[in-house]
Amino acid sequence: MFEPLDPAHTRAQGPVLSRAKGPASGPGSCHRHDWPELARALRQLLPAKAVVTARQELLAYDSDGLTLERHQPPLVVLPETTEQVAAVLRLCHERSIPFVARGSGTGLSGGAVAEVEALVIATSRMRQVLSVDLANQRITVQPGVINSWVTRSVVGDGFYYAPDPSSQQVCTIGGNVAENSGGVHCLKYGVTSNHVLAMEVVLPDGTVTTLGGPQPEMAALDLRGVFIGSEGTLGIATAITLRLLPAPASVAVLLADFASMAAAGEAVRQITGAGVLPAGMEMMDSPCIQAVDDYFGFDEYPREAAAVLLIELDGQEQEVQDSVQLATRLCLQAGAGSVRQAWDEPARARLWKGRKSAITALGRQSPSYYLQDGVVPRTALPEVLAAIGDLSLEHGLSVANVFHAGDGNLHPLILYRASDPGVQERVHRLGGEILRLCIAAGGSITGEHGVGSDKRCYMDWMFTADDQATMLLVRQAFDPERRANPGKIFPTPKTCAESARRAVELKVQGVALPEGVVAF
Amino acid sequence: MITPEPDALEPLVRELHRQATPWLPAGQGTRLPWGAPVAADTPVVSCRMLDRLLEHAVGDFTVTVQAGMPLRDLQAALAEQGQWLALDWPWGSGAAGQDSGSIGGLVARGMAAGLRQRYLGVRDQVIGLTLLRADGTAARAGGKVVKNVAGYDLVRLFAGSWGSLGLITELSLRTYPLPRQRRGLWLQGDLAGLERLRQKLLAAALAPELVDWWSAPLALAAGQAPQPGLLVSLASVSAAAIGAQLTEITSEAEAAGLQPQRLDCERLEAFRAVALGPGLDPAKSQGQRWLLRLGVLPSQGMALLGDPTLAGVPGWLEGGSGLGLAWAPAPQLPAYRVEQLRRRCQELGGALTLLEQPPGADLPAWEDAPSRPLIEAIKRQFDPSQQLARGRLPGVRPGPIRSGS
Ligand SMILES: Cc1cc2nc3c(=O)[nH]c(=O)nc-3n(C[C@H](O)[C@H](O)[C@H](O)COP(=O)(O)OP(=O)(O)OC[C@H]3O[C@@H](n4cnc5c(N)ncnc54)[C@H](O)[C@@H]3O)c2cc1C
Repeated sequence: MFEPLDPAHTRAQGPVLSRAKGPASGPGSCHRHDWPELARALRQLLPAKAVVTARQELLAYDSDGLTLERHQPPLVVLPETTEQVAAVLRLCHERSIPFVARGSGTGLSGGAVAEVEALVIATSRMRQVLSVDLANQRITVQPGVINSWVTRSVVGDGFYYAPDPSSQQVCTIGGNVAENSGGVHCLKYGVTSNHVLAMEVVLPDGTVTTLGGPQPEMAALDLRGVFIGSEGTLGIATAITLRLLPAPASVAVLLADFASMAAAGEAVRQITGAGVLPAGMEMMDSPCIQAVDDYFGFDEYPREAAAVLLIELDGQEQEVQDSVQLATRLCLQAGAGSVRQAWDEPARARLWKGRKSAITALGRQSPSYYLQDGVVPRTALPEVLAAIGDLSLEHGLSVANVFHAGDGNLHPLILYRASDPGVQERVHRLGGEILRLCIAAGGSITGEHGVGSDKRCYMDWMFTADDQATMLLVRQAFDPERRANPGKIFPTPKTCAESARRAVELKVQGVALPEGVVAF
Repeated sequence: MITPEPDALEPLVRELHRQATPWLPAGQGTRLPWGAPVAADTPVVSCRMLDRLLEHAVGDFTVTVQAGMPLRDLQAALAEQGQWLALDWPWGSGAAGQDSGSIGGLVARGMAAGLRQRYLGVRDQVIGLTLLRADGTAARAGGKVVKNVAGYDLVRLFAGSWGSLGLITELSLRTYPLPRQRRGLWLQGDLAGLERLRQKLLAAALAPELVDWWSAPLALAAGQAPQPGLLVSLASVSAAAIGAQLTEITSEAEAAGLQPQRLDCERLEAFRAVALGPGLDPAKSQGQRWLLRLGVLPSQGMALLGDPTLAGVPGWLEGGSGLGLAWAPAPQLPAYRVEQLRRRCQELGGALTLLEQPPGADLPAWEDAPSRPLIEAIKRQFDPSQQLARGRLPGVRPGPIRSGS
């Protein structure tokens, strides 16, 4: 399925179980590495232009889509093949050097940023489609391949790749795998994890292995499943086999406006309850609607509406027609002011345009925004949105909501002016309180953007020390020295005062913390 | 089999750990011998007393249950609210889900069947779980919402772990509204025509619920001509939409030289019951038997079905994934042919897993996965004293069977 592996690189034995090579090689340690010397060694392994050392060029790697935090890495490499990635990771292994994989840097949780000094391994030169197997509806790509290219390379044959993050014109499949990214259509078709069959992965010690396989179920522990969404902390994916779906015969989009969020929520409930499974179901609140109308210069959406709901239905022709009728009736029953239908491509694009421009439109009104990502059970949406409104008033910061209504994935945008003194602190506090609401409602601190560095201090809110220690057993097996994307996902006392306090509290209560999780 | 009360489970597991006693995690215990054998005298710890439905969030289409709950009871409770878990009854169940075992067992085996075509696999339906580790530590993974990427996805690690990493005690799953309309199609004719239709069905936007290949002996068991066939199930929001799909497929089928037979819901169910096999008790099917998990590339399904190694063996194969099951009484299928079949599956881009085999056959239930060293490293982390399901680690070719601990 992949290029044949060099047996010398495949792992002969299980990973070493001892924690670390030396006392100072753990994540976030202050251990200094000789970067110029490492650059020289890397030039022996890679073409000269693949080793980036110039300050000016390194700047491009100092943040991801979450621009609140910037850290310029000491060194970046741009490998082109699995063998090169393996050679680089073997070198890192020999020298106890931490590393951070990076795709296009569109992540929204700080995942691709080297907070501690680490080698950044960017996949921007791993952009080949390795094989297309239409008879078996699958495609194998290098990790740097851009999401939308996958569909582009098979659309002529009537297929497409379903997960479609809004960033799909720029983000990479490797990044999608690491974040388990979703998209507008994941309501019906699922997220990245539902679409990956197999992966070639280079482990932190430089060995190459295959996770998953040609069937969606293998007689093996599902390490593919656990690697997806591990945010670069278990190794680097160097080839990924994705499932392709047949393009729908017919697509329609509905746009309904409502005088209250509760009514819009009721429409969502009625539609899903009736057995209609839309490809996507997106909602925008009043601040979003007004921003979009202002941005367009005319009222694309009814300006006074409290919510608009966009529903995309796809499938076989008759099925779509019947679903459109049913959904339209249910929206009206739930109190929709009007329901617009769009069938042909330009009309559909027009209805989607407002949704797609929402963030840009809001950006026009406010110089900076912080995009939060949380999940609540779908039925809790109206209540949680009202509570977010209260928090917004309380904190004196505007919040606009544009979100995936079908699966309860909220994306509140906190709007602010970076020049206001102390505003970042306030933004973070409000962001945190929104996540508390999500957890209180039975939800999650992240639906698709990942934990990264941004949310690791909230992991404690959702998972107990034992839950996290259990997750870290996986880390221990893949990366006992914790050199892959150090410091991400899990709280450390250094980064999370709250977690440090928690560790003290737990010790006082006499709770024994498992070994290896000094972090809590 | 030890069946502790819910409160007694964790202390028991801790005690077993203190004594480093090997044990086998279990649900209802209906399919314990499947897969690689564990030593015969290994104590079984069942979570069958954990049988309650904890929360059905009807409007959210999620359900949280204790892992020992019988799948059949769970489906019945969901059906009262017009919902279901979009999962097939496991092989060996009765037509109405008798002997289908626990939901926890289904997830631990991680094997889906034909409905995967539309609804994906077992592991894709689980959104959260609670587990007991070998040392008695209780931990949660995932959550109760359908979208969630916080932390590592241990749900997937445990789905299909066959008891090797811990005991699943609680599960949250996604539910679906019961389909408003459902109809089936049964198609027979020459293999090439069936293959053409399979390709059409998978490349069209019809989203059938299932498209399963049937071997000739299975067709015969359903009272049909002893030739391979395709079973198709369609579900939709309206009778009109289903009618349109049936018409479309029928005309495609006729063009491919096949004779389509339309099935109403009841007949479709009757077909699907035949695919569940003769029941769990091997004694009832002429003594010891083989139960084989087939896997090939989807495009090679036809080749496998026509292969002499599978001649005379009832079985089915999912048209979209290339996974399937076949079964035969031991005398009918000598071990050397099973070995041939395994090689054949491998040649066709897949693998063969032995769920049941007659005593003395001693074939490895599964082969090594390419990531075997990593799988073993995970095992050492979760179960350092190798207590759980000793001898049964998916992805690691079982060694010679040893009894005792
Ligand atoms: C405007 C905008 C819209 C967005 N919309 C969505 C959306 O709708 N849905 C959604 O889910 N996300 C969305 N995102 C977030 C982001 O685009 C996704 O998380 C995306 O998958 C990141 O891909 P990337 O290539 O930019 O990865 P990066 O940001 O470069 O990296 C992300 C993480 O992946 C790791 N990584 C990268 N490559 C590999 C590899 N080969 N192996 C192992 N680890 C690797 C990195 O270490 C890092 O932890 C959006 C972002 C922006 C800026």
